[in-house]
Amino acid sequence: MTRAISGALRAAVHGRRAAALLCAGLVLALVLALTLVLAASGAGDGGFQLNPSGGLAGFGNFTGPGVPADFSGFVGPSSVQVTLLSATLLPIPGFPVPRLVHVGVHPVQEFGDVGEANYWPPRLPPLYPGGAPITMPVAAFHGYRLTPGRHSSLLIFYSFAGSRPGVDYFAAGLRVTYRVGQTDYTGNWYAYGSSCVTTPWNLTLRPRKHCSSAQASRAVAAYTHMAKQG
Amino acid sequence: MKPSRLALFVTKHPDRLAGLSLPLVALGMAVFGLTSVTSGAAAATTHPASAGRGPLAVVTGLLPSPASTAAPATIYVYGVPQPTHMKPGEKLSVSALAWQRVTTGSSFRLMIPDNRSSAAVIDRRTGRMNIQLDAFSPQGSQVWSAVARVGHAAAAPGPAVTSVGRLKPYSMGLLRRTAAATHTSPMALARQATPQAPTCDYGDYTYRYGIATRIGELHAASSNTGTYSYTSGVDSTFTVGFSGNGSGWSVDGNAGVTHTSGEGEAFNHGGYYSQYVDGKYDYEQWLQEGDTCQSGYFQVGYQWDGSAFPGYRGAPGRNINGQFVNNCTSDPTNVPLPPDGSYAWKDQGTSYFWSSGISSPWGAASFSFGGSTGYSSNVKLEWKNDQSSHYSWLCGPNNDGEYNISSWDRVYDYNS
Repeated sequence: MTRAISGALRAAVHGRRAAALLCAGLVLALVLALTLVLAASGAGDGGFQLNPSGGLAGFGNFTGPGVPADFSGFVGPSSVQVTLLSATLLPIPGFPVPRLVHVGVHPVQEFGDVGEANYWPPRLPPLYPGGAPITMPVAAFHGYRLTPGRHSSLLIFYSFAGSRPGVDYFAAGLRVTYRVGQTDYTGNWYAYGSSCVTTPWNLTLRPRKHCSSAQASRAVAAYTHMAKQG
Repeated sequence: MKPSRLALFVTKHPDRLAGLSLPLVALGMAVFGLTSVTSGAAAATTHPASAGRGPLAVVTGLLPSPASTAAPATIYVYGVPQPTHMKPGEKLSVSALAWQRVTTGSSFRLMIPDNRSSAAVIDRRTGRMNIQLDAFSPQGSQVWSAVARVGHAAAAPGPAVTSVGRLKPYSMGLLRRTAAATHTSPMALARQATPQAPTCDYGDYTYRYGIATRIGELHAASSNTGTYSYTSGVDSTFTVGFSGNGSGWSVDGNAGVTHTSGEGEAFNHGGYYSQYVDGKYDYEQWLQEGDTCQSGYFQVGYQWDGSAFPGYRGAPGRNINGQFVNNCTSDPTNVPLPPDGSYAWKDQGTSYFWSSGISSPWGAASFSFGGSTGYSSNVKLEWKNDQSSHYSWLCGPNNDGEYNISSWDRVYDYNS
């Protein structure tokens, strides 16, 4: 009888250990999963808010086959120093995906939120007929350091190219990897851009062979849903 | 413990929300579910209410008896407010929706009336309602309590809920009904019979339908096209008018209107366009009196029909250093929109504060709606530069130092 009771007690103790181990494992798995989710969300990892607060905005333009179309957006504030490392294109599922060709950083100088341009570094057509094109100076994305604070006058430019005339190409922004301290984070940075490929095309010769506006509206709706989901 | 203990949350003016939630619930809700409640030996079940002007829900059950002999008690049903009914910093009070005198160990049958107090505690987004049941002895001590969720599709909001059922869809027509005179309303009768039951009565409803109301503004440069469109799920914020005696109105807080169905409407315009955007809203006025609510007359817009069209009045230009100018090129935050089809869009917009811009639908003797009217988080504004050689410029308020077009509540589009 005594042996049976002590055996039952041992089993109970072992049972508690097993339960404790199981609980610890579950907690660990939960923490890991949460870390992965946070790392993927881009919602403010490591003290850096990748996307600025407020609403959504986007830009669209025309470009030639293989000619870079550039789009920009701001980043949110950071409480720490952040080093930008790399970026890949963030497509809008279901819509033509262009090829990412350039990424750079542009401090706002002459204008405010320059949302779209062409070529690289980004260029705008002359302000007046006969004038010179406007070039937006950009710094290298890789290794660019953001000091703590607001970054209200810092634009990130990304540039993509599409090959087929008559096709409107779309991007939701970039998937950005950055470093805070010794830790790397990756998150979605949202900055809608679309470019309709036409031909022939250059900065001053800009034939408007329109792409589908209905498709663009659907892309904006899909992008809005995507960005609000985070 | 007194029933008033259950005034869990209090809003400054809780009952005005009822007028807002009622039509919204009617629009957004298809069918309510219902729940059963058990607590110890007690069991309560909510049933589908009858059609027409019947109750919103009927709660039946058995009040347990803690002693071997039956004792008199009064059982109350309260609506527990949902968090979505409260704005930051506000509290919300609730009053008993229904009551019944019973004896312990006997069954009860409580009808949740189809009125504003009930509608005020229905969650706008889910169409669900939490209720609390409390039974008190004649001496005021609590003898039983249970919680149930009405309209919940699955069990388990609390340990007392054991099953689910159905309720009738909320009737839009009830909104138009003129409330019963105060002295004959169920709540007034309840108050006469049980002075400790907190109440709030409503009456003297009048309505104005299809009133053009400012919801935003649109600016477009010469030869450009500006588009203003609402998507589905639009929110607007209205000021609420209050008067203690029906005259001398003042603005008293804000209330929200949500339009959740349909695609909304859009219109576009080009060529030196600077105009407010209007939509058609329905307004209501009512009188409320009671122990737990602010007594007096209230006016508020409660429903939008989904329309958006050019407003009657022109909107002011860009305010730069106190001067309204129609020229974004003098704004250091301007955004260039190159010619030949470039476009920009943003998904939020509001209108310039214009305190005297929107008159009360009840005439000049009333107050002016205004202030935050027109804000929407689901509007889409778009500008397209269709000129062949001239730039278009977008600019907006820069009070916070933001160069970001998405952070501007208003955007102006002008040529250089």
